[in-house]
Amino acid sequence: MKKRLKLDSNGHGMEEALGRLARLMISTGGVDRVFIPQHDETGEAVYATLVADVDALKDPAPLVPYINGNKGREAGLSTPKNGENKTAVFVRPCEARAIIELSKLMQAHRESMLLITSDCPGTLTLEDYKRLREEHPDHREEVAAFYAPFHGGERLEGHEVRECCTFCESLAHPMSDIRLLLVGAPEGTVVVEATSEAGERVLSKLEMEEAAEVDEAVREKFTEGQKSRHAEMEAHWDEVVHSVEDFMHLVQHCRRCYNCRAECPICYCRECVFQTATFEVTPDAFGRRADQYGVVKMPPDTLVFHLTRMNHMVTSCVSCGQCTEACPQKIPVGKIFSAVGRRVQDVFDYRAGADTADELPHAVFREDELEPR
Amino acid sequence: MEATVEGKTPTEDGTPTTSQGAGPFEPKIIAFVCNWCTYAAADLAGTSRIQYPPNVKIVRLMCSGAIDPIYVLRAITGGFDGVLIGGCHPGDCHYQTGNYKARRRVTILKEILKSVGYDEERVWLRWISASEGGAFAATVSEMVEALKSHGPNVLTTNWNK
Repeated sequence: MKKRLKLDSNGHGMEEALGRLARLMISTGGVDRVFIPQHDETGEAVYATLVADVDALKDPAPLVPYINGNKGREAGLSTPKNGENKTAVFVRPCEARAIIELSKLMQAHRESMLLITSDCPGTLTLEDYKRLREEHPDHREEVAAFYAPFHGGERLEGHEVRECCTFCESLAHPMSDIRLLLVGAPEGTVVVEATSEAGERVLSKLEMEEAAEVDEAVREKFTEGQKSRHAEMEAHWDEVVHSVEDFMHLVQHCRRCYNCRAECPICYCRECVFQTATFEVTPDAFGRRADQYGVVKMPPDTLVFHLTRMNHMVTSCVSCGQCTEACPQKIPVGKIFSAVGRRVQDVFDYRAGADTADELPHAVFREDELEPR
Repeated sequence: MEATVEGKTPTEDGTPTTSQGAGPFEPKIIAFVCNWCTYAAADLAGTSRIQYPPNVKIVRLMCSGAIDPIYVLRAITGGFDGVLIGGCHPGDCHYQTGNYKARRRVTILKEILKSVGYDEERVWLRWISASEGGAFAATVSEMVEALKSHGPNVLTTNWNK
């Protein structure tokens, strides 16, 4: 039986309750630091923060229905290698998946983290989030309104979450140390579940009420809905993409600004191949291409850009959809990479971000496999 | 290198041709081959005077594991109709494991190409040892015939790429 504690908002909001949990973790010595989203002083913008002083954890926003970028990368960058300084990392499932992929790529240190993921109903685009805030100027009310239907496995009507969130397959990540269960929990409460021994050790230091069961049927129903939407997304890809021209049509407005790559938590290379001489087209080469085809497009190589980026990271694509958010041309990059990623990952029976024990398809091989080609 | 990758091959009078030139379609193939096996096989095919179609341009690398998939992508968007990658038989890699890594990379690349609707059968990975001159010639002949039935590469003429 997994250890489950009940975290009651007591009328102060679930985020404040989670803030209290985070402060307790530091003050009881369970962790040294906490990585958690907080509001800035205006109460409008949200940033990931690394907190060492409990008094500096003033305005926690771990459930705000908007994320400004996948914080998996920042969590990796701000958590030192030695496992002695334990950091409690409050993230969403997509960010947890990114952390797991990044730790395999040696860009994050999972062992230094106490990974805490929450059930996530999906997040809004910045535009939509601002609209929600206009309806609920008080942040606590906004979170309460957004999450109220979620306890019953539904989403708030009239506020569409980002496209990639509609087919995200996991609630709180099963490979976390602690999971914050909202779906199937009574409204206004969070069920805090220890999922690993490390999580259990930290929770055992806290004096909190034991939780009643969460409604597993509601959780199951929500997850099934997400999975069927993922299958629909894959089927839709088959309907839309028959030839490479169809694919080129999908990415046709690309102007190679690299925003998708910059926002991708998996694209960690300091020197990206697209900004090296490999992809530099000299005036002479432009001239030769124009001579060959009669006309040359600028910027060039947008197709090769997407195919190469796929080739580099699609086996690790965690479908967070931040690339879609970043695209100024409204290309559904996240959906494209999710669809292709699933096909490629299937070849190796691999799921990006599922488990640190799974080996990266690009990094290993078997002597006896993939034959005949 | 740029001229080759762009798919331009000067004819005897110096004018460039593409696979869309006059006459029946002749596929252009670029072969990235391992120094220790397939390159030696191509050499052996030559010194043994085994006939095979002149459609292939050979680029020698030190190992099939040294082939960055970018080269393949640049070739198929830059004028070639097919890409042949030649490596040592499994277990025979001069560097122990390069061909196993190449196999994974090519598998991933081909799965991506297939997923985006591209004809992934234009990319071939074949194991041809240094003693298999005949196999090299046969592979090239076979590939030329196969590509003739596939027709010209759509990405050669499409400039919006």
